[in-house]
Amino acid sequence: MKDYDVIIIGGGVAGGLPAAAYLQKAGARVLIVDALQELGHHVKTNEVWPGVLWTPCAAGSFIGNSPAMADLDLENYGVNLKLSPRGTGITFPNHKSLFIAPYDIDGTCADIARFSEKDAERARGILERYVEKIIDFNDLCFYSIPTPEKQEKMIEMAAYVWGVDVESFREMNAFELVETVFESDEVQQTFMCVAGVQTLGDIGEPCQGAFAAVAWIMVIPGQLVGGNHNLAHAYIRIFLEHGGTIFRNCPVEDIIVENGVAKGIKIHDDAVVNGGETIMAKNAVITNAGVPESFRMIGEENLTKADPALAQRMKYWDMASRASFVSLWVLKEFPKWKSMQWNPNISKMDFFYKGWESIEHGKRWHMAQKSGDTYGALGGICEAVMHQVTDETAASEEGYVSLRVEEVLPFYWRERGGGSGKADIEMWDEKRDEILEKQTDMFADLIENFRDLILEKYSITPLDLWRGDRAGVAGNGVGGSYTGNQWMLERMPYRMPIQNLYCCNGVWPIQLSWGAGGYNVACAVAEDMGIRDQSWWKAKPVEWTLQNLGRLLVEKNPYWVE
Amino acid sequence: MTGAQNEYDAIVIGGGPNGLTCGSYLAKAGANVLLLEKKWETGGGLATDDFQTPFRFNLHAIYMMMAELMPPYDDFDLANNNVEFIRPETQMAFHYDDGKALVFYTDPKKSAESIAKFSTEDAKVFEKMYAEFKQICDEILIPATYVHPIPALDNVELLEETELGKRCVEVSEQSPESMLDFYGFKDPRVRGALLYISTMWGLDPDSTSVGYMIPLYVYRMLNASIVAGGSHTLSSALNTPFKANKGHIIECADVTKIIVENNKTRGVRLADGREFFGKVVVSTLNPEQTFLKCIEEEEIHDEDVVDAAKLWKWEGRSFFTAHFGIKGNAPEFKAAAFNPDVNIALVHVFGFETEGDVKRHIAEVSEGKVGKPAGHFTCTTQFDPFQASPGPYGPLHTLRYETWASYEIDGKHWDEMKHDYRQQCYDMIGRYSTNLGEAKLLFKFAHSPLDIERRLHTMKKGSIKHGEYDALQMGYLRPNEDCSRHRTPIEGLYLAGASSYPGGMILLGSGYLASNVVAEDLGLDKWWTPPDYIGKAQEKGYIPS
Repeated sequence: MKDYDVIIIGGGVAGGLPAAAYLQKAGARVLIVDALQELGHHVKTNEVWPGVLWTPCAAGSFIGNSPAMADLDLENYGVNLKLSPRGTGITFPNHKSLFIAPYDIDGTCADIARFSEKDAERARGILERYVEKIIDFNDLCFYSIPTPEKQEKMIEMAAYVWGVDVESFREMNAFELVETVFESDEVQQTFMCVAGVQTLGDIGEPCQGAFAAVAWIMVIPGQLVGGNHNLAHAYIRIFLEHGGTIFRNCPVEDIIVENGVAKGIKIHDDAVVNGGETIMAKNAVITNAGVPESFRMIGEENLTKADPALAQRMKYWDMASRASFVSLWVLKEFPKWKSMQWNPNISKMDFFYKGWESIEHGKRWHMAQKSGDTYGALGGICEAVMHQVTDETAASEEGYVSLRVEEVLPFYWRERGGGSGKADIEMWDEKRDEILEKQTDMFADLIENFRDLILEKYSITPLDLWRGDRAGVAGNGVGGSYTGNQWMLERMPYRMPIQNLYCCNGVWPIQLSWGAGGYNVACAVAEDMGIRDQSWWKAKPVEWTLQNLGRLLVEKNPYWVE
Repeated sequence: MTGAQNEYDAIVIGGGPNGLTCGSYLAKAGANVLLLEKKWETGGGLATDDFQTPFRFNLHAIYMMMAELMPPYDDFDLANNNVEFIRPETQMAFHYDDGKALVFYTDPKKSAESIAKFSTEDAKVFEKMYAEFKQICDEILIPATYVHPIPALDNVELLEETELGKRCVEVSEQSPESMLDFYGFKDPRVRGALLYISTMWGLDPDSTSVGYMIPLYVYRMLNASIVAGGSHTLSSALNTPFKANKGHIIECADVTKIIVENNKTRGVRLADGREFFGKVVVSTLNPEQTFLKCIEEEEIHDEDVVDAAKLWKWEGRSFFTAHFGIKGNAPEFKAAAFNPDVNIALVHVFGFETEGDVKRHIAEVSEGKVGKPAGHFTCTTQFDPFQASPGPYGPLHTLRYETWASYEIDGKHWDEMKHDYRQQCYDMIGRYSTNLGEAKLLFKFAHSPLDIERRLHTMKKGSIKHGEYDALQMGYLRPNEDCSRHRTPIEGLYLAGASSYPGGMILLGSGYLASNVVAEDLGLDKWWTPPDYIGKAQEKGYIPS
């Protein structure tokens, strides 16, 4: 058996894979163990209909934010990033649409002006300050391990970008922030839609709600040509080229802790290779397996001994209030959105949202979401992706395309009207088709002749996502819900209270294809090993993307309507 | 793409099993290799996908007939590189309408006991035949798979010099159908089952031209294994040595042109205009793609090569494969009352009572009819827990049903038939099962012959082996007599796909043999040695030295 300096449990693109690639390239001897065959589970690209690609979970690729684009030369390893000139968009039930594209401030503001001249002026200011601060913001808020001092600076910077005074900002949730700054309902929704799916902060909580709305505008949505799984391919290539080792189909039974030090792992008996064996790591064990699974592997006793408060937080870590329900429709032709009559821009958006009926509906949706009312939360904000808009290779030769939609819902089904109150999880297996039908109705209201275009459709429930990926308990793909006490400094520590044990899932900022968690944990481990000083390890986030913006922005695509 | 170099020692077109094999041997030999894959994912037919569900569906190849015998298995230490072949002892169960079942095992004695329930005479005949097939395969046909072919007549001449060789020639003169009489099988069900096994991968019942495939199919399908974790695990494992030896892969790379100047290969051009140059180019594409689409006819100074490509025949029979993910127990079967082992068989065959049924079904498919989906079925999770999630809220099982199907069908389009036919497949399993009705069907997918062609671009008309197995397209003639030894008349151009010797079906043979000649021609250090069974066969004079 080989010796390893670092063992990484879980080879996903948010944490394990970027950490592995950085550390192996920096000279550590790294082993990745993954319970699945295919690494990068959340960026997996599928071909459900021949020639039609879709990436169900990480449907947008946010790798453009990552310093790894430059440090690891990802493009040369197959990451072919494309950006829509329309940035992030939203289409509303009233058949209007909007977009926010910091690369096109004039265009964005002209579009907003159709709703409100005043809002357009406000948006211009925000976007100009955005351009000024995007690198610093990413550097401070995402690609860096948070501290109380940094948190103060983050809030100051967020308030500055939005032109709101810091003290008021601290008191605002996302709704209050957008209602303070903008007057048009549609503009309000547009500026909080990404945060609307309850990530980077609970939109209903003061400060973190406002911060989430600001922070999301700092994330650059893109698509990788040939599917977002190419990011996993690239990391694996770099990792193997530098001599890394991968055990696939290899669940981990335990993280071995002796005298307060993490020594290695014990592999599950059923693993395809090395079943039942113990493997030691000289310097670090990194868990990317999610909080509940990490808790199980480390053991309550070991954790309690090291840090009783953390042990309790991990034991009761909330995964369940943000469950992803993902659906796919394969369509015979590119859909005619009804909002195209208002503005054809929607045809150029690969990553967009279906808005609420109104911002008031958003508040009601948020209440249903928070109170665990799965029925009531259905049909709220949806994240939609059409890969083909920026990646022609995702369409079949016949021109068939995919529409992918995600709703986030409370995981536990509770009976309404004074039932037993017992949470039913298997309800997802019963309700899947009904929800898909409801969603189909919803999109039939937004798209001309939608039903006639459908070649194939299916849904993946939160229960399926959990079954498919043990790190994604309760269908939570972001490392745990964002709630009052699971935000920023109260997310998982990168350096665990057990020596040589590190964590990169459930950490701040968020499990996302941008690999911030993996980058930050790699920094921590490399510093502790004394190998952080590498000539190639120096890029700032977003820098590479801004330098190459001209060629990353797609100029034309057969599906665009002018 | 910035920074990507465009000069290589070798360029491999196609990242399927053979392309990965060839690339890995060459990269480990020190060559600077570029592998170009048209799709976004390498592996070709070694495709396993979960479609983000809790189930792993083997979309194309599933039954590994050569498994550990494939040279790359030892050469790349695949056993320590995540690859495990699972070979259940109970291999195939043929289910009948009266509740009986004929069961085949890896142990021929146990198979004979099962056959004896239908005919004691046939049981004895089977043991004799199996022993002969085993010896012929182990000593002659399997070693021959991994050495370059010689002309058919020379081969016969060579084989005639030994007793076993002579027997091999005699057996090879049979068709799947005449083989039954050659050995003297009597019972209609035994005859039907053996006919199914020898024809299931495309041989016609009356075809005598590639009779040596019959022992291989019968012996190896009764020793079939699946790859733990799904077939794609093998693809990932073949990727590892390639990447670890600095092999470079570009996905979504659609090669449209092999650049040839003065009968010498220079490199390739992609649809998007990118060009890459190499001392050698190895094509795993089919003959039509390599010689008719990627190279101008006037650049090929060998008419025979062009003619062979123009006359290339695709397989007449393809497959319709349905995939299901269920919540519930693994299917159990009515025929378990007759023989409890049916519940633990790797492959279940439904809908064939006699050899007449087999012939009728093949004839129907050949005529483009879509009949009842009689075919074979496997519940992979019964043998490999990694092919579905352990839960929570299971048990979960992954089912795969495959039935012969025609690429062109009578007046209908596969896209319109797909959902209905998929349901018929599910119903077919249910007909023979006692408990499938209690399971909840969570996911269902299917691929028609048309889908095979659209997903795997080398498999025109759904031809899974890149071209018919017949006398004119096999052995020394695959894909033609000038190219079957993996060099071509064009300097620097080599072939390594399933359309080259020895053929398809996850043998890794073509990629292995191509890397041998490329390594010689590039003067690389051949770090590997042939498997022992090859040396033994050469010593005994069964295969050319």
